[in-house]
Amino acid sequence: MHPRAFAEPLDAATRAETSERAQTRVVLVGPPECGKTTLLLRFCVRYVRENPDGRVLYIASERAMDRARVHATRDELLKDDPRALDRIGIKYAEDDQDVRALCCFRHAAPANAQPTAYVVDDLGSLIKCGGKDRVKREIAYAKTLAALHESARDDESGEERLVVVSERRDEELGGVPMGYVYARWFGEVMQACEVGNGEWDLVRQSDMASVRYSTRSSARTE
Amino acid sequence: MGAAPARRRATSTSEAEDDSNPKRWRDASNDARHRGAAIAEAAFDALARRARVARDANRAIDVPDDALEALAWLYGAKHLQKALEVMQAGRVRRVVAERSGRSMYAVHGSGAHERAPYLCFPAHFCSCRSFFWECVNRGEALACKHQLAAKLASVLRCAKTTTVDDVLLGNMMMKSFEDDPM
Repeated sequence: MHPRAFAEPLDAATRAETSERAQTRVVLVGPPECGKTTLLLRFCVRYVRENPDGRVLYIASERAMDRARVHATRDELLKDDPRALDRIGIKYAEDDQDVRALCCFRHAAPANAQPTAYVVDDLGSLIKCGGKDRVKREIAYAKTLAALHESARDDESGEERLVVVSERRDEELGGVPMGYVYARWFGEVMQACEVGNGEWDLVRQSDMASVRYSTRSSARTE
Repeated sequence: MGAAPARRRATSTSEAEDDSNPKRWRDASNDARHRGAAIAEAAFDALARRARVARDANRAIDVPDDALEALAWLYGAKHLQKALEVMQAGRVRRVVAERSGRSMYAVHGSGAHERAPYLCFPAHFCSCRSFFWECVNRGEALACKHQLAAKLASVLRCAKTTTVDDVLLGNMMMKSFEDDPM
């Protein structure tokens, strides 16, 4: 998955990704106010437009969604087929247990209504278990990531489906918090690196491919 | 939000030493674990092929010595022995949802005290304490003995299978996830 899938405007011409090894487990990491929520939402819209049968389950805390500043225009989101947005389902979760519950019961829905991609916004803020107890927090992370990994799989073919998770950058170590736990299930990290003046580079860590984007936007969603 | 190809890469000149470089999260031990997992998968694939040939020929399935040696090298001989004991004692159960076909493994431990079985996804997770400690926290093991037992039972097709209602499967998964392993 190229950083363009997150950072390019939705009304930009899409470029076919040739010879891109499909990576189905991606962590998007960056400091606060770098536009992670907008990147995720942009990815969701692009995904349902490019996959006519695709359905996205977007998981976030309601409080975080209310506070989020989304840097995308109404025109950008409603371009082409606005009904495609119906295939993005937003579920609010209060904690990691809620996230695991969504994963454990996803098979209760009919097969054609189940998600083909999972997006979790700011997973770190949803991991309430453990507080400052590192071991308990580590266990909560492992359980939640395992649940997401297992849930994002076709029951018949075993084919892996997409999981994208965003995290706030670990301010002490830099990079992904609990990175060694993520590494068991997630194969790709994309990091938002500040350039300055509202400009950011979204960098794919495996090969340092990057795309520049801006959080300075004169038009926002209403 | 506008986007343009980056004109410069946002990396430091010395990536290996830079503590803020996020690439360090994928360190050498991680790469070794990924290689080990790939070798283990190949070993299990070979075992699965032999098991399939034996079944087609209506012969009893046996695990050849070279396969045992490969698994002992990957997982540790003691670990493998315990996993084989768990499997041969019939402690591995595959639970399948009736309508969706989604499945999980429930593996009973070998401890003296009766407790609920561990939730196992052989390829990547077990709800036991050993998995969190040895596989996740310390990164020293590819899998715990329950995962290994479940994987062997899956390849050799000797796990008992129970079919349950879809909601019940969800409840079982949820309960296992919420059990405290410590």
